Amino acid sequence: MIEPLIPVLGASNPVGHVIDRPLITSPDGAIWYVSNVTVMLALATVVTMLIVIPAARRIATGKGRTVDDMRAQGALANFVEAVCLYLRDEIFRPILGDQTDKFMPMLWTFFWFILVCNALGLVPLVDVTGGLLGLNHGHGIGGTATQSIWVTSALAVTAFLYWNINGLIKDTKGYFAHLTQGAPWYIWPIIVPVEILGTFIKPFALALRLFANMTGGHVLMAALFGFVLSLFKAFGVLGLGIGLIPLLGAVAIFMLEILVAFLQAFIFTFLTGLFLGQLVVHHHEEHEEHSAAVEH
Amino acid sequence: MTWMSLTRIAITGAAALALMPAVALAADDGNNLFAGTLLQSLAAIIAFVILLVVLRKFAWGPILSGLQDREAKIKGDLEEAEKAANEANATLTEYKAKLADAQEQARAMIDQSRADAQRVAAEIKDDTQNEINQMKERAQQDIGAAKEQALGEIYQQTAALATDVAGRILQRQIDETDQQRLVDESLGQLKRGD
Repeated sequence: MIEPLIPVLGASNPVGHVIDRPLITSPDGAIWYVSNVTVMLALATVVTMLIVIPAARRIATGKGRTVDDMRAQGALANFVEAVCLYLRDEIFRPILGDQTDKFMPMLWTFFWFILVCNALGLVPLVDVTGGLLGLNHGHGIGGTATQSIWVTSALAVTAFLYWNINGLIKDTKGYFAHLTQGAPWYIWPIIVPVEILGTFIKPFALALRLFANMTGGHVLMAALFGFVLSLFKAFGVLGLGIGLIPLLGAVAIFMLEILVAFLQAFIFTFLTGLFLGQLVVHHHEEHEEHSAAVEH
Repeated sequence: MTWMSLTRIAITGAAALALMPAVALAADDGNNLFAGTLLQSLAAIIAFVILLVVLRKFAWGPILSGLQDREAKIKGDLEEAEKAANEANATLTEYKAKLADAQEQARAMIDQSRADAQRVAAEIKDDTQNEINQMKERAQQDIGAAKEQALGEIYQQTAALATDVAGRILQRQIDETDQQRLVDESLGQLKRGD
């Protein structure tokens, strides 16, 4: 009865369960034209649009100016609005001030895209398409796009370019003045390299954090499911009974993963907004304060 | 240094960072956690940019303007409500003042009426009293006159009677002139005797 499920749970190697696999490659296999991750990215793009665009129609002001035209209508619209409004008013307005609305489209896109990528990773597409249907040599099609360091790096580089370019356009002199942190000139040989290093460490940390969080939980979940199967193999039906323990553990971790999916999308977006805010807000005041401090 | 060259450095750096683990672990047994190629990064960027462009037009724009409209409306409504409340307060104060004024006027009118009534009553009373006094005086005069007239007539009768009686006693007739003289004398005595 449980035999067909064995390939689904892929007990032998929990890591094998979560890594990206190519679907269409160059003849020598060096270039992956399309991989599981590519498919999931495309799927996430479509799903994000399907969630956000219909909601946006209902959040936008209607033709009339009645009370009903002014409010979001329906569960989906209210869900999207609650999330967007929270990010805009509670998180980014204190950081970005008057410029919040200018930067929100980018930040919202980061949040929803990463969230949908993370959440789609929790749908057992790989197990269904690979384990049950035997697609892609049994490896399946699916997975978590944000579980690939290649994807998280790309997102982090995009974010890095976004905040740096905006910082440079907003206040070029301030951008470079920022590298000294307003310290006295004799500290500059130390502080400037540290700041430059920090500039590049930020996106690195963003990429690694998202990648590690998405990978770690999934590997743990796969390992726990693997225990169930190992127990069954070793002890038969009795093993299934004991297997309830890791099974419940896996369900608990799955719940945690849902939280992590939201949390990591939020953290990535929040840090992007925070780094952006450091570069585009209050440049002058900050440096005037610093120079004033130096003069004293 | 322009931001274009910075951008180039950033892309190269990030790509190198991303490539490093992949290169290091490329030789393992197909369980490489960092599996993938630069095309996956490219796909991620393309997907993100498409999403950003589409959502900016069809979602974020409408949502932002919707939220801004709503904020403007709430702000406007609040301001209007505040204005209306202020107006209502002003009107209330005005009406309160008017009411107090009207009460004051009513009280003054009542006081005035009362005073008028009292004055009229006093006048009427005085007039009546005067009239009564006049009537009394006139009555006394009338009474006095009547009394005198009556007394005169009584004296005359009495005198005539007395003269008549005396004439009869004296057995002689006194003439008219004597009679008149006697009457006058006796009247004068009577009056003195009063």
